[in-house]
Amino acid sequence: MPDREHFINRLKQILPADRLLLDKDELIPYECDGLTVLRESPLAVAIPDTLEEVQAILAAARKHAIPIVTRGAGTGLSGGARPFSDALLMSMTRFNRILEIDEHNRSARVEPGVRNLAISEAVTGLNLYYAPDPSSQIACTIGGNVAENSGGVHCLKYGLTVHNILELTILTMEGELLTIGNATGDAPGYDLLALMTGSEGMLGIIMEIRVRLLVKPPCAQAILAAFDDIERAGDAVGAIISAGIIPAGLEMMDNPAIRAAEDYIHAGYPVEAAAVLICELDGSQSEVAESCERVVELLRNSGASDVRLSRDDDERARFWAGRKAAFPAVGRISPDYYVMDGTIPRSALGIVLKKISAWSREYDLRVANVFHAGDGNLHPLILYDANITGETDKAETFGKRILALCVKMGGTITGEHGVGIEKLDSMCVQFDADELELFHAIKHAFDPQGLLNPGKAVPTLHRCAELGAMHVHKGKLPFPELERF
Amino acid sequence: MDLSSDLQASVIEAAGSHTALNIVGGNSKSFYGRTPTGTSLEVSGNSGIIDYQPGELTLTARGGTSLSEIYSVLDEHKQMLPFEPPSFGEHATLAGTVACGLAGPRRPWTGSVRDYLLGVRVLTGTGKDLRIGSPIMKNVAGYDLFRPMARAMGTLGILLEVTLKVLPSPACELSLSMDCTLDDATAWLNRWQRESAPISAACHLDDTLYIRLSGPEQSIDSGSKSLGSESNLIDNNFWKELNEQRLAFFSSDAPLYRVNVPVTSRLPEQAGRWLVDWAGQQRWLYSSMSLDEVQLMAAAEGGNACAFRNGNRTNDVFQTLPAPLMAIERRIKQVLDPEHILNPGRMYKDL
Repeated sequence: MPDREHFINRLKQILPADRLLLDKDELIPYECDGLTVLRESPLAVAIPDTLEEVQAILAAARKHAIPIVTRGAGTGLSGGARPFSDALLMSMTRFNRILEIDEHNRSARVEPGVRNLAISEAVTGLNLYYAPDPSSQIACTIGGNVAENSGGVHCLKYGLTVHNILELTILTMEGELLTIGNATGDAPGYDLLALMTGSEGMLGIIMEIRVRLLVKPPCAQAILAAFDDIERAGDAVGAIISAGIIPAGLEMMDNPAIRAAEDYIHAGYPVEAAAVLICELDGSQSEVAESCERVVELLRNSGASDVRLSRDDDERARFWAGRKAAFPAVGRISPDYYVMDGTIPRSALGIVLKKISAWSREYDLRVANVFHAGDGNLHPLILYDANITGETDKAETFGKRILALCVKMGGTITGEHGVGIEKLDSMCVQFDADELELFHAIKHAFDPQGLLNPGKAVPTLHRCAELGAMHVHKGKLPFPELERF
Repeated sequence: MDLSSDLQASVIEAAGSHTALNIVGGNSKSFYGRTPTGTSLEVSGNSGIIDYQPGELTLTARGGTSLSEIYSVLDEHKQMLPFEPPSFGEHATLAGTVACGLAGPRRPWTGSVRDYLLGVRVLTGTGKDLRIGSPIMKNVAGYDLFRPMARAMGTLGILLEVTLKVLPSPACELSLSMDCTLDDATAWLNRWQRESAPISAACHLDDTLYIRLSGPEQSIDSGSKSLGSESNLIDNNFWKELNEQRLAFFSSDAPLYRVNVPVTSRLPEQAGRWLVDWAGQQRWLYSSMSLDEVQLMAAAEGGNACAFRNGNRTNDVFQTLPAPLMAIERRIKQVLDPEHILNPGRMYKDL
């Protein structure tokens, strides 16, 4: 009997039938995550309920050398939770309990399957919240957030997931239960908490997370500014930050994104503008009033053609509504769209946008840009039609060129969506052979058998060499012995 | 001056001859960690600010750059290192500061060293010259190996370059003191923070609570009013004296313990002489208790303790790690420094 059958038989002993999916039909919903173009059916889906079940599954996987892909809500956009036909998909959604809320130390201990927004909802009565707010926060799980180091529109001021968690309990592939970090945020030893965050399920299985909770700011106000020129909008962002103001959120949309959002949401956006900036300021009443006054002046001095200050929370929500609905709004004007996630130094915004618009004409594919302007995280949305032969490939090629440009400008191929399976080729552009080898060695230090989400996040050197995209480091090509064409 | 190739050559040679290196920057924190051993490798000459973008809030400098040079350029643009690191002397370097991972009074409100680390260029123990992270705020490509360089005390690599996120300095700062017990201080601090008072430092010593407020002028004004009429205005320099351990409290050659615990932890007053900083998260202790006893006391509260200064520094000084965790840390050390030549034993005997 092959190993797979032994493995499945063992799973049948560990899990009841309703929590072990084996039929082809039952596996269909698990074929992909939020990156829906890349699909593959898993060997099986396990839905464990207890730590002991997870430990037993890991033991069986070790024994039979079966890889494991861990999945939360499956909202990830880079295929981090995309299954493989020879791997078990382990869904953590039943681990959905909030275990402890420590009001005075302002932290909460939660299981990985708890939804991001559910944490804030559970502590709203205490006037507390969990800060990172990825756009999928209604559905995405905190375990997935840790695995991807998720961001959101407020990370300029409040940081990414890595800045907002204190402690993790993980199971290593070898079945060891480890506590990493601690409740104080200052733990002894190496900072494995940072290393685990964003490791895309490749170093361990997250079983518990202690998150930091923040006091809700007493006051928040938003400013909507229109610009006739997108570079001027970029300069305005620099002017605000140089003036010593850190907004809670600072977002930019270009004209195609403004039009799509306005058609969909009717937020009152100026549809003729080349760009809009949405700037949110929060803090005490006096702090917000003082900062708003300064930001309005800075925006006017930077050449904004129209500046509006939200009069109340309803209006503030309206300013945000268009930005928050930008992706579905674009979905209405194109059969398909491909979300990119490059980060660039803000000073490079003008050059990058000009290149994107030139390539948009070259590939004959429309692009709408939304931009976490405060932290340089650009989300170009490439519009295409998967039913037209060749358009999907064209969109992917276009996307890879954008990411290579981000690296060239001193940025990165992913600001918050992760590498997953989607950006493996682009990793070859960003890192050289030594750096990739280091990543593989780190994976090996945690998972010697290479069974946790193998093949994700870090490309093999072979793949990069074949792609011919390997970074030339100090004029030396890695693996000079390999023939190249 | 860029000395990266010289340093690389030294590391390759040391790796070839299995010679342990004692990495020395400004030599300001040689008291910290276990007693340094090995051949000294001076890295402070590899210095200079490479790129500072006030509008992007990023600064990249060579590891040997002195903190004072960094402060002078940041001051020009009214920006700061948000983690307010202690210098312990005039010669502290950026790399030493990052490697020790120490943060000052602002830490509970703005974050620690690793929170502001965006990238490093690092020499591994085999002399590989790697760039990990990048000079931008958001980057999730590849494993985060740059943040673990903070507080690794040079055991994972020599920091050739460091890129940090910086923040605007507060427009206004004001410090107050008031008489109260530690229990009252804890309760008041909790209440004020829940009311979003603009606190940026809070310490308790000898039945006195010291507070710093930071922010725009108006919010400092309203903040100081709401903190009650019982308070006295004090010099902002108090926080520097505290951070640099120049307060009279620290004038002892006895072992000084640092205890990190949750804010609400109640630790026995009779354990020794206490200074409570970080609103309760970091407590300094002079005690006749042994390090083991102090660590047990801290661990029972979900925290940890180390022998920060003085005392026996040939045994481990940091909190003992559980064996399976230490096993993983050893493997990580092995990956980055297979010959065990970078500050071996400086952090833990086994690393």
